[in-house]
Amino acid sequence: MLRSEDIMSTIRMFQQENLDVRTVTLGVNLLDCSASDVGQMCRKIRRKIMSKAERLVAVCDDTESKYGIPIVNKRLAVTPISAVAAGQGEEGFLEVARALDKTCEEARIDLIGGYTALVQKGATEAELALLRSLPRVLAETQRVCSSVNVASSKAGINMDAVALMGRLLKDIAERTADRGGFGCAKLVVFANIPEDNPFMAGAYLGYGEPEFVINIGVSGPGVVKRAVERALSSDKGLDLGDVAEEIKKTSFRVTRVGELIGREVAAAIKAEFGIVDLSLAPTPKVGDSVGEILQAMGIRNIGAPGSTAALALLNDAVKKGGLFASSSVGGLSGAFIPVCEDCALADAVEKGHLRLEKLEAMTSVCSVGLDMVAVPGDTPAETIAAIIADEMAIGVINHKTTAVRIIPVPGKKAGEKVSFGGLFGESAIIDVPRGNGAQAFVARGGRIPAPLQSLNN
Amino acid sequence: MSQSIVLSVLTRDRVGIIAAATRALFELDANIDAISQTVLQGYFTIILTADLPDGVSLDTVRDRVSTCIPGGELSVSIQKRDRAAQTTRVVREGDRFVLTIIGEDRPGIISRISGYMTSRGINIEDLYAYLEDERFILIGEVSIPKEQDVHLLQIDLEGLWRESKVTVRLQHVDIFTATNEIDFRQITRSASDLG
Repeated sequence: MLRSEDIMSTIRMFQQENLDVRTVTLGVNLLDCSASDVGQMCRKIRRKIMSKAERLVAVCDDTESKYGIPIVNKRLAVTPISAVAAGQGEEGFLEVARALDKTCEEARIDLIGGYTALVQKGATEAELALLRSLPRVLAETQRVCSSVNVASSKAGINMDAVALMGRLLKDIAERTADRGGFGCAKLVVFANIPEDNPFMAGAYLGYGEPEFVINIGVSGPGVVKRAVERALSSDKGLDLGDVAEEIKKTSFRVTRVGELIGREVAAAIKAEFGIVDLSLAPTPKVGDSVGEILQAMGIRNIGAPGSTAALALLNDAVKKGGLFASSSVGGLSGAFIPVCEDCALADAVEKGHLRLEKLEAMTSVCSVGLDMVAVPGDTPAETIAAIIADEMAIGVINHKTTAVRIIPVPGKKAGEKVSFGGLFGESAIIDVPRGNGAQAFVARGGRIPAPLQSLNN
Repeated sequence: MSQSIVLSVLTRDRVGIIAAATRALFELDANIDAISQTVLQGYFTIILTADLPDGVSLDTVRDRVSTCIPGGELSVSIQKRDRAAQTTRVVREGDRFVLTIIGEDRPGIISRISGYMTSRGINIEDLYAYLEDERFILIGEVSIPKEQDVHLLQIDLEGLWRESKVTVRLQHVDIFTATNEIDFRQITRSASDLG
């Protein structure tokens, strides 16, 4: 029988602590939509997506009512378009991207991921065509998100692809200069990209996934923060082991919400249930921030020494609680630190407490990487590539996913502010010190070999 | 042959009430088969069902239980039990939802909510309410007939307290079980069966 305290603590998570289901992401395999005629391919893609997606929003609304839980985003993740539209050339890719955008609008889907290329060991002609189309695609479409895997622990780091991404990001930023370079916010560069991540902009449907699958992203930074605050205020003698316990319990509850919703939605639209991604994904709202959790633990200025250790504690405890709650945990499943999307992190950057180097160090103990980081518009392409290379190295060597979602904001300098609106948030532009020192390294190209799988010290 | 009874006792809480009441029943050769007991703000209440040998009158049981429990004013109520009540559902087919009302304390909240529930054929199966930090909190478990649209009910409920600082929510019981209990397999199976 349920106790009133249990019921009230669940109610509090939803009503006061901003717990929500951040995304219900429907994975759709599009491999069988290939056709030599691009128009025909777009029609097949639309038909395949709509066969499930047209009911997705209504089913999510019903589920929201039944359980009283907000479901914030309804999204799609599809098979890498570089494979689906192989042979079409750059214009063909652009046409497919437009069709995806239009289909999402029709189905009231917020974002679609899967405009993706996996080039960690080398790029095919089709993948290169997709990459070349990115500046136009990200400037001209609203909902299409892209991810490019340039590195893995098995393949190493494709430095030619890394260098290309540096140049492409500059181009994308220029083409969306009127929106602060917003096109770059829809593109993630990965090492060890997961096949079942429901979060954007990095979601895509991997080749090992089913025909239709529902993956869930829950989000509860506010719940974790309040749990830590409550525990510490009720007992001043708690140590960090006790804090980790409190976070585990909270993560357990949050993950359960995701699994319940995921299974219900999957059953209703006759798709398989895939995974719950228990990442703590902040929003720009105060009280829904990962940075605030670190502050609740006692890190007054995020970026100060101790920040990496606090984040490591948080990330590990979140995983442990979530894994006990569900056998279907996947995706990224850690704490995100997207600067623009997290008010406390954005504040720390603005005050100069959190610098690029410390942010990079913090990404080595959490998911997902340098995320939503705005840098000066005049940062050279080679420097952006070098930042990507460093982050990829952290992922490759540590056998974890890392990613870079970096926005060189056209016309803006370090310390100035940029705002992307909505969930994408705002931040001060972070300084890139000694930014020009790696051009020769990046220009050399080639592949940084895969690391040892033993002698892990 | 035996007869089945349902009996309740209400009195100020003190040590020994259950011992006294059950001793009285034991001495009448009654066999208790279910008990629910609670204490609310210092007042004790118990409801139990029992089998009683034929020939023992309900008045005898009431008198023996009343005289057995020492000290203080008490009321004992007894009636014959219809065994079919245990298996007959009040709501023919329905899902269990948790009703919560949280907000400013004012007269009439429970009357209004229960009146509304009655008008929609919804059975209240469990209910408790209390004041915490000057906020009124009501938690109920209700059984909602399958044909009812929960979304429309929710809209109606919000309308009932539109003008005041009261939040009212209906949420399927599974969300509370999932977030509070270790065992979750039963729930996930039933959700998967929906399709």
